[in-house]
Amino acid sequence: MLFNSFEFAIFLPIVFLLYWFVLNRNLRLQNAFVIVASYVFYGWWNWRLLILIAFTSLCSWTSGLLIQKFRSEHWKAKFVSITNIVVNLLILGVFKYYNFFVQSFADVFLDGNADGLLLDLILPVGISFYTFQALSYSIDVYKHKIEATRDIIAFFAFISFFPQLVAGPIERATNLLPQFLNKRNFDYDIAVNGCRQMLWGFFKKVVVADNCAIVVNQIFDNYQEQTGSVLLVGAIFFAFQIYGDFSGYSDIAIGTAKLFGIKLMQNFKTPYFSRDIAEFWRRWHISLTTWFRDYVYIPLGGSRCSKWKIVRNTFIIFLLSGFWHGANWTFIAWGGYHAFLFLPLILMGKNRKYTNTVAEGRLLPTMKEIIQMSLTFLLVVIGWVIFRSENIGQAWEYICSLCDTDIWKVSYRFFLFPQHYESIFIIVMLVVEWLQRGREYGLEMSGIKVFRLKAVRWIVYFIIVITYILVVSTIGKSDFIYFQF
Amino acid sequence: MRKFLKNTIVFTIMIVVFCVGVELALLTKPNVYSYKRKYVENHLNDISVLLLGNSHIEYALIPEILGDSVFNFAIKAKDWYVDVELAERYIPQMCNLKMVVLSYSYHDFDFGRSNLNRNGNKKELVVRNTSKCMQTKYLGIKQHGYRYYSELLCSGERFMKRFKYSKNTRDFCDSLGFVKIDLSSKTKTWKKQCVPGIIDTIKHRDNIAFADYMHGLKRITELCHAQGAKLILVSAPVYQTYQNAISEMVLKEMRGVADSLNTFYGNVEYYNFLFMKGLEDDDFIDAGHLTETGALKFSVVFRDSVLVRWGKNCHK
Repeated sequence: MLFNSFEFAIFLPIVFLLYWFVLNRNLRLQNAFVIVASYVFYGWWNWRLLILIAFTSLCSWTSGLLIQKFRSEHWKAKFVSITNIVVNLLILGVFKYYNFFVQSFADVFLDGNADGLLLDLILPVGISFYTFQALSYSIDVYKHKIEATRDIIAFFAFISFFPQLVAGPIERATNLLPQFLNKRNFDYDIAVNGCRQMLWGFFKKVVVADNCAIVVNQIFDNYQEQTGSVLLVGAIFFAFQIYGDFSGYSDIAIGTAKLFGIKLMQNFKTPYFSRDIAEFWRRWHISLTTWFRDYVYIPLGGSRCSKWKIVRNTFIIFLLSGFWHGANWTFIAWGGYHAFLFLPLILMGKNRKYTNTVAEGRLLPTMKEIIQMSLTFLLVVIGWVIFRSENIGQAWEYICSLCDTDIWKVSYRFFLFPQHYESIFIIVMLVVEWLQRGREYGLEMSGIKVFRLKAVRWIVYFIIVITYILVVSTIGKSDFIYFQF
Repeated sequence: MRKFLKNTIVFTIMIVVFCVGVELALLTKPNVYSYKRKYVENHLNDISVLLLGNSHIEYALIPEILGDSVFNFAIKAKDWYVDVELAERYIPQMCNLKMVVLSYSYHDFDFGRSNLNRNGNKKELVVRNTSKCMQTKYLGIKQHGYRYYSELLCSGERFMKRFKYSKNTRDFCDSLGFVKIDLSSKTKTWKKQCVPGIIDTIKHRDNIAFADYMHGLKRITELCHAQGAKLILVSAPVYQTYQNAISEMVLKEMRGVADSLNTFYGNVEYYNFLFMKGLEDDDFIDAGHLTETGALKFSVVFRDSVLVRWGKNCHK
């Protein structure tokens, strides 16, 4: 079920009302209802794939209990933990990467002929997200960060909680599981906050991302016929498309969770206002980057080791991060590209130079900050070209064509032609997010004088909803990009 | 909780009221669909030549040139199944009907064999969504089981334009249903616009879609036959870039379908004007549609080669 679908507009109020009015007196019953609702939400795509989620949940829950049981016998706990990791990664590997590895092997050794070796597999929506969430639990239990839970219902609810099931944020058991183990109470302010965050998420997804997608698809599908300036527009629009799409999803997910009294972690912190690549990675897809940091980078030694190990560790997490996104060399190249950008900063010890919000306490950035943000954005945009391309060859051709002399002939028509009012929406999003850059999301209104007036708040909501309706009516609904990961 | 629910309900009501208000306001605005429907319903016994189909006929044939009692009921982006439903509804009531001219479009013979992704083109999406809801709302055509498509939700940004729409605007049709297209809306890339996808005739066509299409054509033919009217299938002239994308095999299929209908019913003729000579760049608004000047030339040719030949006579 898509967040931006009619089905979800019916599903959410029903689940909300049953959750708070019918099942709120019994925690286990409420959690069981969360599982049912989540399985309906997920099964809407393909109910057969529910078996995978149930199996992953069961494996991790059982392994958690066994790890706890074998606390005194370290090797047994380790064995259980490793077995759970292997089983989970095996499922992920088979469904997501098997065909990629076989095809790559065939390309090298069998002249590309992989007939009979490839499997006709469907990629289960969001498999990377819930697998990583399940893995984090058993690793945390193994590392004594959390006690294993005996409450199977709460655990299944933790893995399958529908707002973040298919595209994150990838929650940690330390944050989310205790919320399912304790009674939730309805809080008006949190619920309203959640609605606002959902509204902002819908704006970014439908109004910004889906509009940009049409221009991006036209340009990337015919990139060989385009001039450098048009290709640049395509790459920039894709940067906003993927940001609007993914951060929009996260905002909708976090906002929806708030309606059910659940607090999810922040996944994006205005990443395009970063002053260097390291800051960008602290602000982009935070739940994944911190996952890799905690479960891969730090166990490998992190940055507190020899220089060559730092280089190795940096490359490992970036390449893994790229590979996590999908079975294609473009994702790996994208990870490698970011590793190259990140490496100088970490080697010079400047990777934590910018941990505060840009232009804190000021309305406008300084010239230096503008240049830093623009350069970082440009580097990120080049990365997105690699990410968006069908293959490495296309990415290379696209980037070469970008460097065409034609790039200076800025295509004003693309920005100003009425059909391409996407730029107006992008500007609106950027202005709002700039003004709200220190806050959790763009539409957070608490503490802002003008929004104390209910009428003003409602006018803003009204404008966003109407804009949403108009845009949906024009271009229809579309999937979220990150579902495929 | 009560406050939250109250606010949510009030806000939802506000949105619904706004949407319903827009829908009702739009109902009062004139449009080509309601005009043409009303005209046909009021002139059932006056029309002897009825033009059906999509923009390829709507912009291409001028009833005034074709003669008396001709009406252009073609509307842009109208799918063939809409014509079937309109034919079912009106042809049996048209006592003086001599001829039905139906748009016989090359791209209708795609049947899933070209790789053209129409959904990727925003402009086309808007046009298709708009026509879908206009056909439902103003022509009374049931679409995908729905009897009503909200203009606000389905017609893209076009419904906004309709607020300043009147019978005097450029987009409106003349009294006999012809929509004039002038050169002012021509873009620099007009030669590439509306070029059909290359149809791969080696690929298997979607037989269900083909059977549906054939069923529709047969039904219109039967209705014409029952009224003693001739059915003229017309492929309107197209520009060079469109012509280059045309497959000979598909043309043969088109001819074959028309011939098979004629063999069975005896009242069907196919006229292929896709490669018509004598048209210039200014006669086209894009690769697939004529401007007013193009329509003037084509209407004369059509009158002389089709209407004069058949003399608007019925076949019985």
